[in-house]
Amino acid sequence: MPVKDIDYDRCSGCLRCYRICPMDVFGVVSRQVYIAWQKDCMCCYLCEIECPEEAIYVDPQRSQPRPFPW
Amino acid sequence: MQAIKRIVNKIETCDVLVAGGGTAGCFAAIKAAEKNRKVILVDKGHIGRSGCSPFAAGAINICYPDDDKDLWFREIVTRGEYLNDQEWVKIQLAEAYDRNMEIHKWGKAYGLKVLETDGDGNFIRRKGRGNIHTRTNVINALPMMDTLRRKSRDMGVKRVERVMLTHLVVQPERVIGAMGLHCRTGESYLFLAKAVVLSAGGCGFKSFFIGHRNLTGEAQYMAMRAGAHLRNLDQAMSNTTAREIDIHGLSLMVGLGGRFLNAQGEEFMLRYDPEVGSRARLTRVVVGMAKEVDAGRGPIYFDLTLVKSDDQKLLRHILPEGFRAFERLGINPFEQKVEWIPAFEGTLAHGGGIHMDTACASNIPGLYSAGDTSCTPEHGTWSITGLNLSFCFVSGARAGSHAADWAGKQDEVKLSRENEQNLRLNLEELTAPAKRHSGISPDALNYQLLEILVPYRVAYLRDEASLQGALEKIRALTEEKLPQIYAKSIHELVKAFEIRSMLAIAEAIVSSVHYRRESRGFVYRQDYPLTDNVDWLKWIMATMENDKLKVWAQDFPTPYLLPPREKYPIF
Repeated sequence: MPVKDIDYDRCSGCLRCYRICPMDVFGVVSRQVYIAWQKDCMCCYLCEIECPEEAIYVDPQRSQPRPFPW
Repeated sequence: MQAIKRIVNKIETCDVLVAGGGTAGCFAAIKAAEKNRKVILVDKGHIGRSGCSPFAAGAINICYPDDDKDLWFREIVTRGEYLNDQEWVKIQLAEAYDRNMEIHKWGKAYGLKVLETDGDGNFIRRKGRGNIHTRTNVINALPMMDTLRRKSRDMGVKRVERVMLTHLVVQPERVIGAMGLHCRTGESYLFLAKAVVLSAGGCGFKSFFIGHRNLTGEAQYMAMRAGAHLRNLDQAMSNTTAREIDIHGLSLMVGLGGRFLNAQGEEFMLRYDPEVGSRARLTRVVVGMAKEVDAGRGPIYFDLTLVKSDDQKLLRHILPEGFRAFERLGINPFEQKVEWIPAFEGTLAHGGGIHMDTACASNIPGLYSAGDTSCTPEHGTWSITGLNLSFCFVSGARAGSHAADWAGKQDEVKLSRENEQNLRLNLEELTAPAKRHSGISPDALNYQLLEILVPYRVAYLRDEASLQGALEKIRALTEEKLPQIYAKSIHELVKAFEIRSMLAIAEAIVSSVHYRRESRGFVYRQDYPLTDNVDWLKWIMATMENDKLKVWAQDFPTPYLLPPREKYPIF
């Protein structure tokens, strides 16, 4: 599970996470951000680092399975 | 021109178009703007938080004015197994210090600390992976990116974000721009430019390792399609990461006492590189890991339990995301070893790319390259830690400067009828997946491609059979599955094009590895285990002609350090 939760009690609607996410994981509806494409999250934590309200939690587990070298 | 306005949504004109806003692209844009050119900097994401650059894990190679340049040159070229462009190594050693001091100064003006200093205000220098006489400085990635973003803004660079460039626009005598798609709105863009700098990273296939999943090689692909020569794709690279999570910063961790262990607890790298053990270059580490597994001594672990307390603090400070990730999984890597795997990363970093001269010019007039999109000529195979990040600064600056000079001598750009026809065809190709109702999803095709590329007999312990087999499977995916790819949103349509790019680059990589009938750098062939400086000290080149991949080998000059003309084993 990658970017997992947005705590809407903390979220101020600044939309910085939406602006910076390199994988376009977030969407915006009526000034509110939401997780639109969770499977494309690469667990880079940029959204968590960027959020001024500590409203985002990223789980380090990969969002999609990957074949292993062995 | 009127007809074009009915085909694409937006048309922009400039002197220099820079594709990709990472460290190389920002430097290119800034330097072109310094020469008073009108510059547009385009990125698939948010400039400053896109591609590999924000995840530069703290290591950067800077040759100081009073360092022994000859000693550094020798170390870089010998460790690069003589595949380096020696003129480029000289340039890198001559210019890295100025570029680094420059960005550090820009950062200071913004209140940002780019290069890390100690308590006395001196820049921190260490011994990282591969360093014998050379040294590695410590750099802060996000302040570095924030500095570059702000500087490009202050230099008047026009920034266009969330646009994926997909195709170059070329005329017989020169490149005249590029087209692309807005990743959120689906609007098509046409950029007309007198010069183009491609600095959009390489292709990581969305595999392992942190932070590169929007890097799927469109810049390298569009260049190849336009007839640009690519080089060194055989040196498609790997890093290493934890099996369970993607974590970077290995070089720093290894430099501070991290070790690779096999299932029997042996520091096995001492067998493959007695001089530096776990600090061996990546080319040997990933093959060493595969050899251990092949011999039944897997799995492989990374062990940080011997790292000193002060260094633990430094690691946590420089690599907060990685240690946060471990913490969330309930792992303290300073107390327990962690299962580790090689992370195949394709043409990212020093894994090959657009062939260029010392002016960063490709064989297409007006088309320049910098950073990871280029063939990273300074490295050879892979030489020392942090060299590539520093190369991004140097090559970005040079590409921007030369592109600006070229643009200054060009007439206005005018689209020909053939250009208009090609734009229509390109858009059809781009939009076709959205017009299908069923088929294969981009994610499914991505997984199938990784299933071909990632297994250790294709990625590390290679031979004729494994490479030929992989090539046939990649071609089958391209011919049979790609035409069925579908997308039901702009987001998925972007991914569909990324798959197209990945398949082409995968074929070029595996063909290049297959072409090299010796072992060198990241190419380790069980059927040709010697490094052959008699017959194979060559660059492997690739391009597309009439939509078909062409691969060949090319001699290159070694003017300053003659390689020993002999054959020798890697291990």
